[in-house]
Amino acid sequence: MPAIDAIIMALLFFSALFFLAGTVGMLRFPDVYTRLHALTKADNLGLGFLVLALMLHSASLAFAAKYLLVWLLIMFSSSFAAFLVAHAARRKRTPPWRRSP
Amino acid sequence: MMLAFDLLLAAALLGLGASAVLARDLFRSVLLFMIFGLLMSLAWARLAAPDIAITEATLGAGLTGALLLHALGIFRPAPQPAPSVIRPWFALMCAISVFALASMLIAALLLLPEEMEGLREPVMAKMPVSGVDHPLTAVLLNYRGYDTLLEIGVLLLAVAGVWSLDRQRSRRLRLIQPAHRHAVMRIGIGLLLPLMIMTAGYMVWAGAFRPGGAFQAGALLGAASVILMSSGMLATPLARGLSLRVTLAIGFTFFMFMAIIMQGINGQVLQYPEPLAGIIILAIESTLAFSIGASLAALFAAVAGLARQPEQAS
Repeated sequence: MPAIDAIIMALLFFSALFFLAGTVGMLRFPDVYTRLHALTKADNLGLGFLVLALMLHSASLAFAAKYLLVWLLIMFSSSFAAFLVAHAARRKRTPPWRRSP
Repeated sequence: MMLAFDLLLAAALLGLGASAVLARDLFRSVLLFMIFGLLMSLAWARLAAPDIAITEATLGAGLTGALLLHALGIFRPAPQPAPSVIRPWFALMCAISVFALASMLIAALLLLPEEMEGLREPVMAKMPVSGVDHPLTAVLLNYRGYDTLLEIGVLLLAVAGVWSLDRQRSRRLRLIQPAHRHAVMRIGIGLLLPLMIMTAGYMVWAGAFRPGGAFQAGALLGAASVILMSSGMLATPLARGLSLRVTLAIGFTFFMFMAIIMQGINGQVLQYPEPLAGIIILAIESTLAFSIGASLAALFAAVAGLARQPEQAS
């Protein structure tokens, strides 16, 4: 198998891993603020690996550039959305989770 | 290999549909419906219908979701998630009719002849004279342009219907929170909104030779207007003034105008003269995109502004 295919498969594996981590975090974290961390950080990193794999696999440079732009746009808009959710939670005075003594 | 993916997708769609209907309260139902819309768009992409996939993603997951959330009253000061109440006899009626429809569709699918070439040959054969390079746009705007004309008329009637229900004109929109003082909001919308408008313009142009077209661009413009209205960046509420009405009507009017002119020139409604077909289609699509965007904006404004709250909006 050519080396590039092995690299692509490794990248896809890591992407799946990070998406899984993000989903587990979203299901298991105690409050909305920590869940936002899981969703934005882990999922965006997973998407980054996916985009890298797609860029390596793409037919032309134009496609690779488009995938990169898609990733940048999603990072931007997901952080924007995360801010809005966190801000709304703050305004509703949702208490952040504290470790119970 | 793709079979596994398709089966997973189909199972997920069925599961989401069931959970959306059986959810505890309507808020969950709406959220599950939005996710269902996203997966549906994936299904359309798998069925090699990218135009519909784009429209489904924008409208089903985005715009309809926002409309439903507003209609639920989520964004009012004291939201109470309405419990989902399904009366048994009503549920039985729905189940029976859905089952009947599903069996009819499956029977029709099984009764299809073995060899079916469809209409692909005639469509592709006439493409060089249709003025565009994308079969879907050729069908929508040229071969069956009459249907598209009537669809736009229906959309215009829908807006008129919604407006006639809400008798208070130019009521102050219930903005969630005027947020222009938040730097994040300004930067976020400052990047997203021009990008959406530019992408909408590109999609109108690109509809001639790749997936895109007036409906997709109009849906994107509608989504942009939803962002603008919901964030409080719009200084004045969406008034039913002359400029909005002109934008709403211009798609249908221009299309009708073209149809009448073609009738005069060629004796056939919507028969474009061959050398001008491309440019006529582009002009019609541009006006359609504006109208569709404005219609979606007007529909959303009507729903979002229908909150009957005694307190005055800021």
